Amino acid sequence: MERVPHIKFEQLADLAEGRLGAPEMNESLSHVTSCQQCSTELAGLKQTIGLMRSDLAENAPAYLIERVTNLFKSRATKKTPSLVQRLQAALQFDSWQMTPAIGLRAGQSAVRQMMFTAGEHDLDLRLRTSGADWIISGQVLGAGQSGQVMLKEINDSTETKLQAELNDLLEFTLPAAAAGKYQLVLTLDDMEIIVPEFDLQPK
Amino acid sequence: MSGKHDKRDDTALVTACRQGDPSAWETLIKRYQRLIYSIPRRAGLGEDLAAEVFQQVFTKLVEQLERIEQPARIQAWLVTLARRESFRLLQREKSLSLPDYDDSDEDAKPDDPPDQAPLADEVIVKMEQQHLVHDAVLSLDDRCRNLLVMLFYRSEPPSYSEIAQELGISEGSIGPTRARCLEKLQKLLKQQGF
Repeated sequence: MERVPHIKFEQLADLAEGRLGAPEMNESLSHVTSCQQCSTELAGLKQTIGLMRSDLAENAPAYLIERVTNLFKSRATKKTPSLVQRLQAALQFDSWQMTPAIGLRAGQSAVRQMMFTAGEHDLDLRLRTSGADWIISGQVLGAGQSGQVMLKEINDSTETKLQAELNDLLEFTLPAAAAGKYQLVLTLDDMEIIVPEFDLQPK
Repeated sequence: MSGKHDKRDDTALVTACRQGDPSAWETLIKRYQRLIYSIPRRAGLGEDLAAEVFQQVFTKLVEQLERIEQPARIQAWLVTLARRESFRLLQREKSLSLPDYDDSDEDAKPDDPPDQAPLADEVIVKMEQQHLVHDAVLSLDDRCRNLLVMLFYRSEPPSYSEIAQELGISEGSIGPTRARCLEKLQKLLKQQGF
Protein backbone atom coordinates (compact mmCIF):
# COMPACT_ATOMS: atom_id res chain seq x y z
CA MET A 1 0.00 0.00 0.00
CA GLU A 2 1.36 3.36 -1.00
CA ARG A 3 2.28 5.45 2.04
CA VAL A 4 0.60 8.87 1.99
CA PRO A 5 3.14 11.56 2.92
CA HIS A 6 2.42 13.71 5.94
CA ILE A 7 1.19 17.26 5.50
CA LYS A 8 4.00 19.82 5.53
CA PHE A 9 4.13 21.83 8.73
CA GLU A 10 3.44 25.10 6.91
CA GLN A 11 0.25 23.65 5.48
CA LEU A 12 -0.75 22.35 8.91
CA ALA A 13 -0.20 25.83 10.31
CA ASP A 14 -2.39 27.28 7.55
CA LEU A 15 -5.03 24.67 8.30
CA ALA A 16 -4.91 25.44 12.03
CA GLU A 17 -5.36 29.14 11.31
CA GLY A 18 -8.07 28.68 8.71
CA ARG A 19 -5.94 30.16 5.95
CA LEU A 20 -6.49 27.43 3.36
CA GLY A 21 -8.96 27.68 0.49
CA ALA A 22 -11.80 25.14 0.46
CA PRO A 23 -10.22 22.54 -1.88
CA GLU A 24 -6.87 22.48 -0.02
CA MET A 25 -8.64 22.50 3.34
CA ASN A 26 -10.80 19.51 2.43
CA GLU A 27 -7.82 17.59 1.09
CA SER A 28 -5.81 18.32 4.24
CA LEU A 29 -8.66 17.40 6.56
CA SER A 30 -9.19 14.21 4.67
CA HIS A 31 -5.57 13.24 5.36
CA VAL A 32 -5.70 14.37 8.99
CA THR A 33 -8.68 12.16 9.79
CA SER A 34 -6.66 9.10 8.81
CA CYS A 35 -3.21 10.09 10.04
CA GLN A 36 -2.56 9.95 13.78
CA GLN A 37 0.65 11.97 13.60
CA CYS A 38 -0.82 14.83 11.57
CA SER A 39 -3.99 14.79 13.67
CA THR A 40 -1.97 15.13 16.88
CA GLU A 41 0.25 17.80 15.37
CA LEU A 42 -2.81 19.78 14.19
CA ALA A 43 -4.52 19.56 17.58
CA GLY A 44 -1.34 20.76 19.30
CA LEU A 45 -0.98 23.69 16.92
CA LYS A 46 -4.61 24.72 17.35
CA GLN A 47 -4.24 24.59 21.11
CA THR A 48 -1.06 26.69 21.13
CA ILE A 49 -2.47 29.25 18.72
CA GLY A 50 -5.72 29.37 20.68
CA LEU A 51 -3.86 29.98 23.94
CA MET A 52 -1.79 32.77 22.40
CA ARG A 53 -4.79 34.48 20.81
CA SER A 54 -6.89 34.36 24.00
CA ASP A 55 -4.06 35.49 26.29
CA LEU A 56 -5.29 38.62 28.08
CA ALA A 57 -2.61 38.66 30.75
CA GLU A 58 -1.16 42.06 31.68
CA ASN A 59 2.33 43.03 32.70
CA ALA A 60 2.60 44.47 36.18
CA PRO A 61 3.34 48.23 36.15
CA ALA A 62 7.03 49.15 36.22
CA TYR A 63 6.80 50.89 39.61
CA LEU A 64 5.38 47.73 41.17
CA ILE A 65 8.11 45.53 39.71
CA GLU A 66 10.70 47.94 41.05
CA ARG A 67 9.10 47.87 44.46
CA VAL A 68 9.08 44.08 44.79
CA THR A 69 12.61 43.89 43.35
CA ASN A 70 13.73 46.11 46.23
CA LEU A 71 12.19 43.69 48.75
CA PHE A 72 15.22 41.47 48.19
CA LYS A 73 17.62 44.26 49.17
CA SER A 74 15.74 44.60 52.49
CA ARG A 75 16.28 40.89 53.04
CA ALA A 76 19.96 41.19 52.15
CA THR A 77 20.49 43.85 54.82
CA LYS A 78 18.65 41.63 57.30
CA LYS A 79 15.86 44.11 57.79
CA THR A 80 12.45 42.54 58.16
CA PRO A 81 10.67 43.17 54.89
CA SER A 82 7.41 44.89 55.59
CA LEU A 83 4.28 45.56 53.69
CA VAL A 84 3.73 49.11 52.59
CA GLN A 85 0.78 50.57 54.50
CA ARG A 86 -1.47 52.41 52.09
CA LEU A 87 -3.66 55.23 53.28
CA GLN A 88 -6.14 57.28 51.35
CA ALA A 89 -5.83 60.98 52.18
CA ALA A 90 -8.96 62.87 53.21
CA LEU A 91 -9.43 66.51 52.23
CA GLN A 92 -9.64 68.80 55.24
CA PHE A 93 -9.31 72.21 53.65
CA ASP A 94 -9.47 73.69 50.18
CA SER A 95 -8.95 77.42 49.75
CA TRP A 96 -11.09 77.41 46.62
CA GLN A 97 -14.07 76.29 48.66
CA MET A 98 -13.76 79.17 51.12
CA THR A 99 -16.10 82.18 51.03
CA PRO A 100 -13.87 85.12 49.99
CA ALA A 101 -13.26 87.74 52.65
CA ILE A 102 -15.02 91.06 52.22
CA GLY A 103 -13.06 93.21 49.78
CA LEU A 104 -11.52 90.27 47.93
CA ARG A 105 -12.93 88.95 44.67
CA ALA A 106 -13.38 85.23 44.34
CA GLY A 107 -10.51 83.54 42.54
CA GLN A 108 -8.13 86.41 43.28
CA SER A 109 -5.49 84.24 44.95
CA ALA A 110 -3.04 82.73 42.50
CA VAL A 111 -2.28 79.86 44.86
CA ARG A 112 -4.73 77.15 45.78
CA GLN A 113 -4.02 75.57 49.14
CA MET A 114 -5.30 72.12 50.01
CA MET A 115 -4.77 70.25 53.24
CA PHE A 116 -5.21 66.49 53.56
CA THR A 117 -5.05 64.10 56.46
CA ALA A 118 -3.94 60.47 56.32
CA GLY A 119 -3.53 58.65 59.62
CA GLU A 120 -0.99 60.56 61.66
CA HIS A 121 0.23 62.62 58.74
CA ASP A 122 -0.97 65.85 57.21
CA LEU A 123 -0.21 66.85 53.64
CA ASP A 124 -0.10 70.54 52.81
CA LEU A 125 -0.38 71.12 49.07
CA ARG A 126 0.02 74.39 47.21
CA LEU A 127 -1.03 74.58 43.59
CA ARG A 128 -0.21 77.55 41.40
CA THR A 129 -0.40 78.19 37.71
CA SER A 130 2.63 78.76 35.54
CA GLY A 131 1.33 79.75 32.11
CA ALA A 132 -0.96 76.92 31.04
CA ASP A 133 0.68 74.47 33.47
CA TRP A 134 0.46 73.86 37.19
CA ILE A 135 3.22 73.72 39.78
CA ILE A 136 2.44 71.58 42.79
CA SER A 137 4.54 71.96 45.89
CA GLY A 138 3.95 70.84 49.41
CA GLN A 139 5.08 69.48 52.67
CA VAL A 140 4.35 66.37 54.70
CA LEU A 141 3.72 67.03 58.37
CA GLY A 142 4.35 64.11 60.71
CA ALA A 143 6.92 61.39 61.29
CA GLY A 144 9.12 60.27 58.44
CA GLN A 145 12.67 60.61 57.24
CA SER A 146 12.56 60.43 53.49
CA GLY A 147 10.36 59.66 50.60
CA GLN A 148 9.15 60.66 47.22
CA VAL A 149 6.01 61.96 45.61
CA MET A 150 4.57 60.90 42.28
CA LEU A 151 1.85 62.56 40.24
CA LYS A 152 0.01 60.27 37.83
CA GLU A 153 -2.50 61.46 35.30
CA ILE A 154 -5.73 59.49 35.54
CA ASN A 155 -6.83 57.73 32.37
CA ASP A 156 -3.50 58.37 30.71
CA SER A 157 -2.60 55.25 28.74
CA THR A 158 1.01 56.37 28.38
CA GLU A 159 1.37 56.19 32.18
CA THR A 160 3.32 59.45 32.33
CA LYS A 161 4.37 60.30 35.84
CA LEU A 162 6.01 63.30 37.43
CA GLN A 163 8.21 62.62 40.43
CA ALA A 164 10.07 64.52 43.10
CA GLU A 165 12.09 63.56 46.17
CA LEU A 166 11.25 64.96 49.60
CA ASN A 167 13.96 67.11 51.16
CA ASP A 168 15.03 66.89 54.79
CA LEU A 169 12.02 69.01 55.78
CA LEU A 170 9.77 66.64 53.84
CA GLU A 171 9.04 69.39 51.32
CA PHE A 172 8.78 68.89 47.59
CA THR A 173 8.09 70.66 44.32
CA LEU A 174 6.93 68.66 41.32
CA PRO A 175 7.77 69.46 37.70
CA ALA A 176 5.11 71.45 35.84
CA ALA A 177 1.96 69.52 35.06
CA ALA A 178 -0.57 70.21 32.33
CA ALA A 179 -4.22 70.71 33.30
CA GLY A 180 -6.05 67.47 33.94
CA LYS A 181 -7.16 64.95 36.55
CA TYR A 182 -4.44 63.41 38.67
CA GLN A 183 -3.69 61.02 41.45
CA LEU A 184 -0.91 61.91 43.89
CA VAL A 185 1.05 59.13 45.58
CA LEU A 186 3.34 59.98 48.45
CA THR A 187 5.75 57.23 49.51
CA LEU A 188 7.30 57.56 52.96
CA ASP A 189 9.43 54.81 54.51
CA ASP A 190 6.87 51.99 54.82
CA MET A 191 3.81 54.04 54.09
CA GLU A 192 2.03 55.23 51.01
CA ILE A 193 -0.43 58.12 51.09
CA ILE A 194 -2.74 58.49 48.15
CA VAL A 195 -4.73 61.51 47.11
CA PRO A 196 -7.05 59.61 44.80
CA GLU A 197 -8.21 62.33 42.47
CA PHE A 198 -7.85 66.04 42.10
CA ASP A 199 -8.47 68.32 39.24
CA LEU A 200 -5.97 70.81 37.92
CA GLN A 201 -8.20 73.27 36.11
CA PRO A 202 -8.60 77.04 36.27
CA LYS A 203 -11.35 78.09 38.69
CA MET B 1 9.17 41.85 24.87
CA SER B 2 12.86 41.97 25.80
CA GLY B 3 15.54 39.62 24.53
CA LYS B 4 17.86 38.24 27.17
CA HIS B 5 16.39 35.14 28.72
CA ASP B 6 17.69 33.64 31.96
CA LYS B 7 17.57 29.89 31.42
CA ARG B 8 17.97 28.85 35.06
CA ASP B 9 15.10 26.67 36.24
CA ASP B 10 13.03 27.56 39.29
CA THR B 11 15.00 25.34 41.66
CA ALA B 12 18.26 26.98 40.60
CA LEU B 13 16.72 30.41 41.02
CA VAL B 14 15.39 29.78 44.52
CA THR B 15 18.73 28.28 45.55
CA ALA B 16 20.55 31.31 44.16
CA CYS B 17 18.15 33.65 45.98
CA ARG B 18 18.90 31.86 49.23
CA GLN B 19 22.57 32.50 48.56
CA GLY B 20 21.85 36.20 48.18
CA ASP B 21 21.93 36.48 44.38
CA PRO B 22 19.79 39.52 43.44
CA SER B 23 19.80 38.61 39.73
CA ALA B 24 18.01 35.36 40.59
CA TRP B 25 15.33 37.32 42.45
CA GLU B 26 14.95 39.68 39.49
CA THR B 27 14.56 36.70 37.16
CA LEU B 28 11.90 35.15 39.37
CA ILE B 29 9.94 38.39 39.32
CA LYS B 30 10.41 38.79 35.57
CA ARG B 31 9.30 35.20 35.01
CA TYR B 32 6.12 35.39 37.09
CA GLN B 33 5.12 39.06 37.21
CA ARG B 34 2.68 38.77 34.33
CA LEU B 35 0.95 35.68 35.70
CA ILE B 36 0.76 36.90 39.29
CA TYR B 37 -0.50 40.37 38.34
CA SER B 38 -3.09 38.92 35.98
CA ILE B 39 -4.69 36.64 38.57
CA PRO B 40 -6.22 39.45 40.67
CA ARG B 41 -7.05 41.38 37.51
CA ARG B 42 -8.80 38.34 36.09
CA ALA B 43 -10.68 38.07 39.38
CA GLY B 44 -12.08 41.54 38.74
CA LEU B 45 -9.87 43.57 41.05
CA GLY B 46 -8.81 47.06 39.95
CA GLU B 47 -5.20 48.10 39.47
CA ASP B 48 -4.68 49.29 43.04
CA LEU B 49 -5.97 46.10 44.62
CA ALA B 50 -4.13 43.96 42.08
CA ALA B 51 -0.98 45.85 43.11
CA GLU B 52 -1.76 44.98 46.73
CA VAL B 53 -2.07 41.28 45.88
CA PHE B 54 1.11 41.39 43.80
CA GLN B 55 3.08 43.01 46.57
CA GLN B 56 1.71 40.66 49.21
CA VAL B 57 2.67 37.59 47.15
CA PHE B 58 6.27 38.66 46.60
CA THR B 59 6.64 39.90 50.15
CA LYS B 60 5.58 36.47 51.38
CA LEU B 61 7.96 34.84 48.93
CA VAL B 62 10.96 36.83 50.14
CA GLU B 63 9.97 36.06 53.75
CA GLN B 64 9.53 32.34 53.09
CA LEU B 65 12.47 31.72 50.72
CA GLU B 66 14.37 29.56 53.19
CA ARG B 67 11.27 27.55 54.11
CA ILE B 68 9.93 26.64 50.67
CA GLU B 69 10.07 22.85 50.59
CA GLN B 70 9.69 22.29 46.85
CA PRO B 71 11.43 25.06 44.91
CA ALA B 72 10.57 23.29 41.65
CA ARG B 73 6.90 23.99 42.42
CA ILE B 74 7.35 27.69 43.13
CA GLN B 75 4.86 28.59 40.42
CA ALA B 76 2.10 26.62 42.12
CA TRP B 77 3.03 28.27 45.43
CA LEU B 78 2.83 31.75 43.92
CA VAL B 79 -0.43 31.05 42.09
CA THR B 80 -2.10 29.60 45.18
CA LEU B 81 -1.13 32.61 47.23
CA ALA B 82 -2.28 35.05 44.54
CA ARG B 83 -5.66 33.29 44.36
CA ARG B 84 -6.07 33.31 48.09
CA GLU B 85 -5.17 36.98 48.38
CA SER B 86 -7.48 37.88 45.50
CA PHE B 87 -10.40 36.11 47.16
CA ARG B 88 -9.64 37.84 50.43
CA LEU B 89 -9.74 41.25 48.81
CA LEU B 90 -12.84 40.39 46.79
CA GLN B 91 -14.55 39.41 50.03
CA ARG B 92 -13.42 42.62 51.67
CA GLU B 93 -14.63 44.76 48.77
CA LYS B 94 -17.94 42.91 48.72
CA SER B 95 -18.53 43.52 52.42
CA LEU B 96 -17.63 47.21 52.02
CA SER B 97 -20.01 47.74 49.12
CA LEU B 98 -23.06 45.92 50.49
CA PRO B 99 -26.13 48.13 50.79
CA ASP B 100 -27.84 48.28 54.18
CA TYR B 101 -29.06 44.80 54.83
CA ASP B 102 -32.83 44.43 55.09
CA ASP B 103 -33.52 41.25 56.99
CA SER B 104 -37.12 41.25 55.87
CA ASP B 105 -35.90 40.57 52.34
CA GLU B 106 -35.77 36.80 52.04
CA ASP B 107 -33.75 36.93 48.84
CA ALA B 108 -30.91 39.06 50.26
CA LYS B 109 -27.88 36.92 51.14
CA PRO B 110 -25.14 39.16 52.52
CA ASP B 111 -23.05 36.22 53.59
CA ASP B 112 -22.70 34.67 50.13
CA PRO B 113 -19.03 34.34 49.26
CA PRO B 114 -17.86 36.28 46.21
CA ASP B 115 -18.42 34.56 42.90
CA GLN B 116 -15.50 32.17 42.49
CA ALA B 117 -16.05 31.64 38.77
CA PRO B 118 -13.42 34.21 37.67
CA LEU B 119 -10.73 32.15 39.42
CA ALA B 120 -12.16 28.68 38.99
CA ASP B 121 -9.63 25.88 38.60
CA GLU B 122 -10.10 25.67 34.84
CA VAL B 123 -9.48 29.40 34.51
CA ILE B 124 -6.24 29.14 36.47
CA VAL B 125 -5.13 26.09 34.51
CA LYS B 126 -5.63 28.01 31.27
CA MET B 127 -3.77 31.03 32.61
CA GLU B 128 -0.85 28.81 33.58
CA GLN B 129 -0.82 27.20 30.13
CA GLN B 130 -0.82 30.66 28.57
CA HIS B 131 2.03 31.62 30.85
CA LEU B 132 4.02 28.58 29.70
CA VAL B 133 3.44 29.37 26.03
CA HIS B 134 4.26 33.06 26.53
CA ASP B 135 7.46 32.18 28.36
CA ALA B 136 8.44 29.83 25.53
CA VAL B 137 7.77 32.56 22.96
CA LEU B 138 10.01 34.91 24.95
CA SER B 139 12.84 32.40 24.81
CA LEU B 140 12.82 32.17 20.99
CA ASP B 141 15.23 34.13 18.81
CA ASP B 142 14.38 37.77 18.11
CA ARG B 143 12.83 37.21 14.70
CA CYS B 144 10.52 34.39 15.80
CA ARG B 145 9.60 36.13 19.01
CA ASN B 146 8.70 39.39 17.27
CA LEU B 147 6.79 37.62 14.49
CA LEU B 148 4.73 35.42 16.81
CA VAL B 149 3.91 38.35 19.07
CA MET B 150 2.68 40.38 16.11
CA LEU B 151 0.66 37.50 14.68
CA PHE B 152 -0.89 36.09 17.83
CA TYR B 153 -0.70 38.49 20.74
CA ARG B 154 -2.10 41.67 19.28
CA SER B 155 -5.83 42.28 19.61
CA GLU B 156 -5.89 43.25 15.91
CA PRO B 157 -3.21 41.27 14.07
CA PRO B 158 -1.53 43.39 11.41
CA SER B 159 -1.60 42.40 7.75
CA TYR B 160 1.35 40.54 6.23
CA SER B 161 2.44 43.73 4.46
CA GLU B 162 2.46 45.65 7.76
CA ILE B 163 4.42 42.84 9.39
CA ALA B 164 6.90 42.79 6.51
CA GLN B 165 7.44 46.53 6.89
CA GLU B 166 7.83 46.42 10.66
CA LEU B 167 10.20 43.45 10.71
CA GLY B 168 12.12 44.39 7.59
CA ILE B 169 11.43 41.11 5.77
CA SER B 170 9.72 40.28 2.48
CA GLU B 171 6.01 39.66 2.56
CA GLY B 172 6.44 36.35 0.78
CA SER B 173 8.70 35.02 3.51
CA ILE B 174 6.23 35.60 6.32
CA GLY B 175 4.24 32.40 5.77
CA PRO B 176 7.26 30.06 5.78
CA THR B 177 8.93 31.98 8.62
CA ARG B 178 5.74 31.79 10.65
CA ALA B 179 5.63 28.03 10.11
CA ARG B 180 9.28 27.57 11.13
CA CYS B 181 8.75 29.68 14.25
CA LEU B 182 5.60 27.78 15.21
CA GLU B 183 7.48 24.52 14.70
CA LYS B 184 10.28 25.74 17.01
CA LEU B 185 7.71 26.80 19.56
CA GLN B 186 5.93 23.46 19.48
CA LYS B 187 9.25 21.59 19.91
CA LEU B 188 10.14 23.77 22.87
CA LEU B 189 6.73 23.23 24.49
CA LYS B 190 7.01 19.49 23.95
CA GLN B 191 10.40 19.48 25.72
CA GLN B 192 8.72 21.22 28.66
CA GLY B 193 6.06 18.54 28.82
CA PHE B 194 3.24 20.53 27.27
